[in-house]
This record gives sequence, structure tokens and C-alpha cells, in this order.
Amino acid sequence: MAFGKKKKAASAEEAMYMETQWQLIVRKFKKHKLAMVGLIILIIFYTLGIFSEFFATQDIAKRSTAAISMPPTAIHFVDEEGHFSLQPFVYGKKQEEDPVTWRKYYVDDTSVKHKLRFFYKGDPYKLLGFIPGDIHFFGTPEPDVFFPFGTDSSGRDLYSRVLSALRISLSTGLVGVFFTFILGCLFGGISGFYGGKVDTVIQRIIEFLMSMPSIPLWMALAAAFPTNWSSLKTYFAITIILSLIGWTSLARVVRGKLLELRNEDFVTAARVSGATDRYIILKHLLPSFSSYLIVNITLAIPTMILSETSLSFLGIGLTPPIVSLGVLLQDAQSINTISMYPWLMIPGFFVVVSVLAFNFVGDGLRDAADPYK
Amino acid sequence: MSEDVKKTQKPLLEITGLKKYYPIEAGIAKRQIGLVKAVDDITLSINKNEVLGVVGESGCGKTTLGRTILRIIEPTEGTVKFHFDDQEIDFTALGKKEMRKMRRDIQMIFQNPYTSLNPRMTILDIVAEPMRLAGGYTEEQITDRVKYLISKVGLEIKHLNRYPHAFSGGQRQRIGIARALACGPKFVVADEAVSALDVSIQAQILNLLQELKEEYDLTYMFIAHNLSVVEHISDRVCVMYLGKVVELAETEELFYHPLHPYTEALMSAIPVADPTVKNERIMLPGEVGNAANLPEGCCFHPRCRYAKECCKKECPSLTEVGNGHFVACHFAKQLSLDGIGELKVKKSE
Amino acid sequence: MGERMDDYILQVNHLKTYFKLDTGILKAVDDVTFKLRRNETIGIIGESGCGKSVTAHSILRTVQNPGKVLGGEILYNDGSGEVDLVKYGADSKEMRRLRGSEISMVFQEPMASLSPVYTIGAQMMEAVTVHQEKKDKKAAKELCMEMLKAVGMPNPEQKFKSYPHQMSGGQCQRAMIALAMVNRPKILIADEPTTALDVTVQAQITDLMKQFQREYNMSIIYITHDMGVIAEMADTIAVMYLGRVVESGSARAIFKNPIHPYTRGLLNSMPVLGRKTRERLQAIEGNVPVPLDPPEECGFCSRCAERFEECDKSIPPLVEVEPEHFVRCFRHQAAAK
Repeated sequence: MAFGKKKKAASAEEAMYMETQWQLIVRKFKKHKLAMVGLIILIIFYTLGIFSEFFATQDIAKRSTAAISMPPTAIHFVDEEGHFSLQPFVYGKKQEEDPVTWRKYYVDDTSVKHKLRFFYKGDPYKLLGFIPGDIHFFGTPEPDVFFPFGTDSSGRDLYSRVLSALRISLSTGLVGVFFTFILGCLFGGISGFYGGKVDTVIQRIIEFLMSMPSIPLWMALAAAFPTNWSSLKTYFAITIILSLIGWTSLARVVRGKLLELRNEDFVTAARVSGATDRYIILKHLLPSFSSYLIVNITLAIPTMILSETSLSFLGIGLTPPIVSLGVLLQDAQSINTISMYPWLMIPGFFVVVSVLAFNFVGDGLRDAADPYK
Repeated sequence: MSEDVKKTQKPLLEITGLKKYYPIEAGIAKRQIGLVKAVDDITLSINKNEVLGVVGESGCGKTTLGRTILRIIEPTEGTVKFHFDDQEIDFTALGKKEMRKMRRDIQMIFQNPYTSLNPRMTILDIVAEPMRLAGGYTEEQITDRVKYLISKVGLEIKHLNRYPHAFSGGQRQRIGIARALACGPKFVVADEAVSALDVSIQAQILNLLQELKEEYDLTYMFIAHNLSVVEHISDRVCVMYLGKVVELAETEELFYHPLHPYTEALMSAIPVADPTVKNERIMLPGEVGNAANLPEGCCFHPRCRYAKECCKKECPSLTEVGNGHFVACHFAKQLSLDGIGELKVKKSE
Repeated sequence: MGERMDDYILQVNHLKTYFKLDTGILKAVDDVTFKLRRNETIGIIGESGCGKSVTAHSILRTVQNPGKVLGGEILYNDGSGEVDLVKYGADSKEMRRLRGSEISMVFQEPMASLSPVYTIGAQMMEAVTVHQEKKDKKAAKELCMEMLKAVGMPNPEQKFKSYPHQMSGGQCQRAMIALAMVNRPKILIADEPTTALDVTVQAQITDLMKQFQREYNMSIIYITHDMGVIAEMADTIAVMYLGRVVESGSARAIFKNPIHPYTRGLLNSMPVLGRKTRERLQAIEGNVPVPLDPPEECGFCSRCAERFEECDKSIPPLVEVEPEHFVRCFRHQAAAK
């Protein structure tokens, strides 16, 4: 019995000894609880974003004139008579007016109940832009009664718009990061591996680029692009140009790491055995710092998300009719709106959570990236 | 090896006037403001099947010497010639491609077993790397040879697919040795190969190195700062101080009859693992000089208790005083220095 | 002489310090027992991972998380009676008072243990004033300068204002010793103080420590893996293996009559100066295991050439085989009886 146990432990140990670097990283990453939470949140957000039409309760452009600036709809399980029903429902709404201030507000009309359903037939949509469908995940088949996050001043459903905004906001960052990544690796790699004069020149260029102020540049660019370009097209163009000057910090990381690795004993050992530069780069250097690159990229995405949000908020990034978290937050620009319609701040919550989630994941990856320390 | 053969045979390795200077640069224009003379005009030879120990304190240039011989660091000046089977190769004159071809004959063992193995490669890949780089082997031959080497250095063949993190320091050093032997080298530079290891493991590795040397007719350049270890493994010992060889002799001769004051002081400082031995200490005043700013004359004179006027002006050259004993000291013949025979005396009970 | 025999300044009994890790319990220090007489030096010798540094940190109660002192006693007697340091909290007022003033420590890496952002002088001044009620800066500075001169620091006035990176390794270690000695501690713990230094500098530092011991009447706990240094420094020696003291006794006894197979193996595996032979060294086979959830057996039994059936059944106790000479080995305890 005891012997069997010992043997089992030994084979598990043996399996650990044969683990590759990536297996070790995954194992260590899984131990980082916050990072796992972050990862799950990101998976949920991306799923919600990619299939936003399916998860949305209605079309994002649809205006409900009967529901202007309506607060989030409460979901009930128990009706006014105390009867419990497993299927949740929402009440209908009646608009009333304050006789003194003339302010309009909504009250529950308890006589009308709308049952909430999964997979109901609602507004038609095209999933991912080409799969037609009209089945929605959760909501009421009756229109204009269920607004989980409330509506904006035009009577559009904020919940559906947040989901759609998640898709835009979480993906535009990736484009920028992709270009940053390619340029950073290329120039950082050249700078770090060859050193000498090439290194000096690239470092001076980096310092020059780093000193350029990005928001004025962005504003100038936003004005410079042809006005007949769609907002999304302009935005991508700006993102690409920004990544042309934004690769510098990654390039520095790559260079530093390469300089460190170039003098590692195992690289010297390969050189003593007659390895060429190409061999050393491909076989020893790249695999050694790929994990660091991933960490760096993960931590660069939230910066991109934040810059999209803040630029759109200022009105120089994405502009309506495109829906991004920043664009949605434009509605919450005045204190007045915030005090009267606080639910318009909900997109801000999604910004915070997704940025935090990316940072947690990046943190977990950083701890796991070097499993040998 | 009989005496006549030794005389007629050319040394395996001949180093002549080897120098490695690093410029010290300052400012944006990289103006050269000085030179660090890491290795300063070293001439020595190593015979076939010999272990040459190189000792000295940190910063004396012993590591740079080893690396310059292997051209991991390109020498500033001087030549390194190998004599392999009547064939003379000027290693310093070879082009990049030809040098790569020569790599299989000269190898290196590193000090730190934790940084010298790529943690992302299996043991099989690590040991096979030199063979794959050299080319001319089939994958099957490589695997067979790796298995043979791994068992030769005392590890189990079944662990071939493990990663380095599964092994202790001593085991890793064995893997490093197996890698160095992969292509059947003739000359191996062992740079502090046992200094990072525990005492009990150090003995295992020293024994292994000796066994391998005898079995494969290897020649070692054994760089270390631990004099007891060097004495144990070396046939001849070379003492370095600030980039120069100050003394070179057969091991016993050097330890019992040192001719350079620095060697004497170095030996007096070795602690002896016997509380009944009284250790005569010769305290060297000050610290090892700066290789970027060498003193005039003999570089050891500021710390030498026998220094005279001429030592401050003229730098003594390494000359043979007989019997293969070389020393760089103006007063080598006049001074009578103490060896370990006199320095480490048993206390009378 | 007879009176001095029992004058122990520090007695460590059955000390246990464990690290609770995800993978199990690392028994870094598992039953360490030794005694330190006033004005004497005890050498603790062992290989990496044997728990010698953790023992030092346990005495100062500066073990890093997740390590904890979980048992045993550390009896400290400054002349006014015994106190058990294990009973104090790691961050208690009593411990803070003892640390640096009565018991201080010198580390292996002088560069790493001195702060790079303060001058040597500032760090020494802080060490002095932190233990004073009334801060007397002038007296403190005088004391520091006196100490820097005493450790043989060249150009002490200038070095007082220097940062650690402006000095060589040997000078840093001198500064470290000056810092540790500035409050005239009764016990100096030296954790591999010369391992990172060259032999000639090592000789200077060990001589300096011996000189201080004579001048200031202090006791030293000298931790190292170097048999040579320990032979020169120590009056008594404790040999550690895998978190336990396996043999302890006077330096002369340990070197002349080593009993534990590990001690003998250690002595035989070292190349001895002047004993030039073509023979192989007698290496201890195998590797040092990691004390992670160790089995209830003699820690050395996996590498021991003299093991017999009893060795892997239980942990042998530390037994006095001859006066003041303790050994933890079943075979040799039986032989001694």
C-alpha cells in the first residue's frame, strides 16, 4: 500500500521533471488566484463582446420613445401578492410627472407582468456580421420593457450597447498592440543583438519618439484624415500611426533582455560549439524571452483600452454611430447627467473591470514567466 | 610518458604574446581615456595530456585568458597555436567559418551549473547540441553518443528527456561536462568548474575530470581560485597577478619552492583544515591593484615586502630559472621564500 | 578552567525552523543543538541547504516568511540570567533591542547587505543611534570613526562618506564588520563572511575577527562550508547535515577524531595542501537531498557507506560519545557504548 503510494508520487515527480517550460508556466499561473479570476473575466467579456448580438436584448440602434432615460429594470421573483415564481419577471412601466418640478419619472405598473425567457425570438441580427439570426439569450419577447442597465436619452438600451462596445473597445487595443509588438521586437532585437553603433542609433531614435506628446499628435491626426473616411477607419489609421511611435518601450525591454541573455553561459557554450548568430537567436534567445514578451503585451493591452476610452470620451477617438465604451461614457460627461441618470456610468465599470482583469493576468504571467526562479 | 618523448613532442597549445585590452571610453564621442589590461602579454604552452592550473585572485585576468584562448573574446594581440597530430593550426588567424570547424576540438566547462544549461532544453538536446552544430552525425548516432556520455559522467540514461530544473548543482555540472565532451575534444578549458559546488560534490567532479582525462587523453586548462584544488589536479601551475603570469612551474616545485613573493603570500593565506597546524601568515598590505591603472614597474611592487627601488621602475619579464620554473621577479635568485613546507608547520603539542 | 566550562552565553536546544511551502513542509532546521561559551568561537559547518544560515536567522529571529521557529529553545545569557529568545515575538521590543546591539550579524554578500543609497557613515550612525534613548550624534560619530579605524579601513574619514559601490569587496566586508561591531555586541554571527572574497583578503578578515574577539570579549558563531577556515577560527565545531547537527565537539576532536560518517567523508573529500598524490579523492556518493517532508530516518543514510538496518527506521539522537563530543549516528553510538 505504502509502496504503491510512493511509486505514484515518484512518477508524478518524474512527470514534473519532464515538463516543458510552458507546462511549468501554466502550472504556476494556475496557482495565482487573482490572475485566474482575471482570466475568467476576460474570457466572459470577450465572449459577450464577440457574440454581443446574441447576448443583447435588442438592436443597439433601436430607440424606444416610450422609454427615454429609463433606469435599469428590476427583476422580480416574488409578485406583490407574495407568490414566488421560479421564472423571473419584470413589471411594465408607467410614466408619471412630478407636479412640482414637472420632472418625468417611471413607476412600476404591477398589473402588467412580462416573463423573462432564455432563447427567445427578438430583433433580427447578423452574428459576426454574416450569420443571420433572431434568437436572443435572455430577456422578454415583448419589446421596450426590459432594460437591464436602463436606457440613454434617446431611449436606446444601454445593456445591448455595452456588450457591443466591449467588442470594439477590447479589440481595437489588440490591433495597436500587434503593430507595437512587431516593431518593438524587430528594433529591440537588432539593437540588443548587434550592439555598437546600430544600438546607439536606434536608442537615439527611441528617445526622440518617446519625447513626442501623444494626445496633441492624436488630435492633429484626427483632423488630418479625410472626412469621408468612416470613424472606424480613421480610428484604425490613428492606432497604427500611434503604434509606429509607441513601440519604443517594448523595444527597450527586448533590448535589455537580449543584452542580458547574450552573455548567459549557455549562449557562450553554444558559441564555443560553433553556433552561428542565427542559430543562437532562433534556438536560445527567442525561446528564452518569449514569455517576457507575452507578459509585456498583456500589460500593454489595458493601456491601449484606456487610451481608446479617454480619447473617445474627449471626442477625438471613435465617434458615434460606432459604439465603444468611451463613446458611451460621453453621455456621462456632466455632473447633471450623472446625478440624474447614474446608470449611464455603467460602461465605466466595464472599463475598470477589464483593465484590472488584464493587469491581474499580466501580473500572474509575470510571476509564472520564469518558472526556474 | 617518458622524458624524451616529452621533449621532442611539440606542446599541444602555444600561446605567444597574448593580450586583451579593453578601452575605457567616456563621453558621447566615446573618447578613449584609458586601457584595462585584462590579459597583458602572456606567453605559455600546454603539453598534451597535461593539466595546467591557472590561479590568481579575482580580477587577475584568468577567466579572460581562458576565454581569449577559445576566442569567445577576440584577443587584441598575440597568437594561439594548436598542434593536433603534427598539424599546426594558428587559431587566432582563422576566419569565422574555419574557426567554427575547429570548435569540436576545443571545449569549455563553466563555473555556474545553473546558468550554463539552457533551462528550456532537455538534457538530450543540451548534450547533443555540439554534435548537431558540428554536423556529420545522424540523429541515431547522436542519441547513442549522448546516452554513452550521460552514463559516462554518472547520470542515468532514463533521465535524458528531463529538463535541467530536475537536477542538483553537481548533476548539472556533470551534464555540462558531458556536453563539453560530446564531439571528442582534445583541449578543454575548465573555468572554475568546481568552485560553485559543495565540498562533497566537488570531490566527485574532480575525480570525474581526472578519470575522463586519462580515458580520453584530454588536456585541461584548469582555472580556479582554490589553491588546494589546483594543487590536487594540476601537473603545472601558473600564477597570475593583474593580467600577467608571475610564476609558472611544476605543481610540487611551485608549492614547495615558490620564487615569487606573491605566490608565497598567496600560499600563506590558504587556511589549513587542521587546528594543530600553525599557519605563518604573510599579510599583503592593501588590495589587488586596478587593471585600468597599473602601477609603474613591477605591478606587484606596492604590496611586496621585498620591493626595492628597481621594482618601481622596471617591469620584470617572465624568465626561466631552470627546471621549467619560470618567474617574473628581479630578485628571484636572491630571495629565499617559504613554500608550504615552511608555512604550514605542525604545532608542537 | 572548571568554572569557565559552564559559562555559556548561548545555548540552542532542539531548535526547529520549518518553511511551509505549497509543495510540503521544508524542515530547514530540524533539531539543532549547540552551546557557545563566552569569548569563544563556534564554527557551524555544512553544505548548502543544510540549514546553517536559517539557524543564524532563527537566533536573531529574522527568518523570512514562510519560515517559522516552531520549537526548541535559544537560551541567551548576557551575565544577568538566562532568557529564552524563542519565547519572544520575532518583532518584539526585546528582540529589537538585542538585534544589532547585543547580537549582530555579518553576511556573505557585503555589497548586497549594505544599503546602496546611504553612505557607510550614515548606516553606522543609524545602527548606533537606534539603540540610544538620547541621540548624541557627536559621540556616535566618534564611535563610528573609531570603529572604521579599528577594522583597518584605509582612509576612514573619506570612507565614512562613501557609498558601498565606491568600495571593493574586501572594504565592504570591513565596513560590514565595523557596522556589526559598532555597538560592541556580545555575540557576532558571521554567515560565510569570506566566501565571496579572495584568499588573501579572507586571511585579513579572519584575522581581524580574531583580533576583535580578544579586544572586545565577544563570542562568535562562524558559519561556513570551508573546513580550512573553520580549523583556524573555531574553538568548537558543530557539523550540520540536512537541518540537524550530526556531530559537535572541540575543533581538535572533530579534526583529529571525526566519528560521524559525514564528517569523515567531508574531511576526506577535500584536497589537502601538500599531500600531492595521483590518487582520487574519497568523494561522498550521491547528492544532498532536499528536506521537504523528510522521512523519519537518519538524514545521511541515503549516502552513507556504513548504514545498517536501523538507520532508515528512526532519527538517531545526538549522544555524547566522549566528554564534550556529541554524535548523531546509530552505528557509532553503539560502538562507543
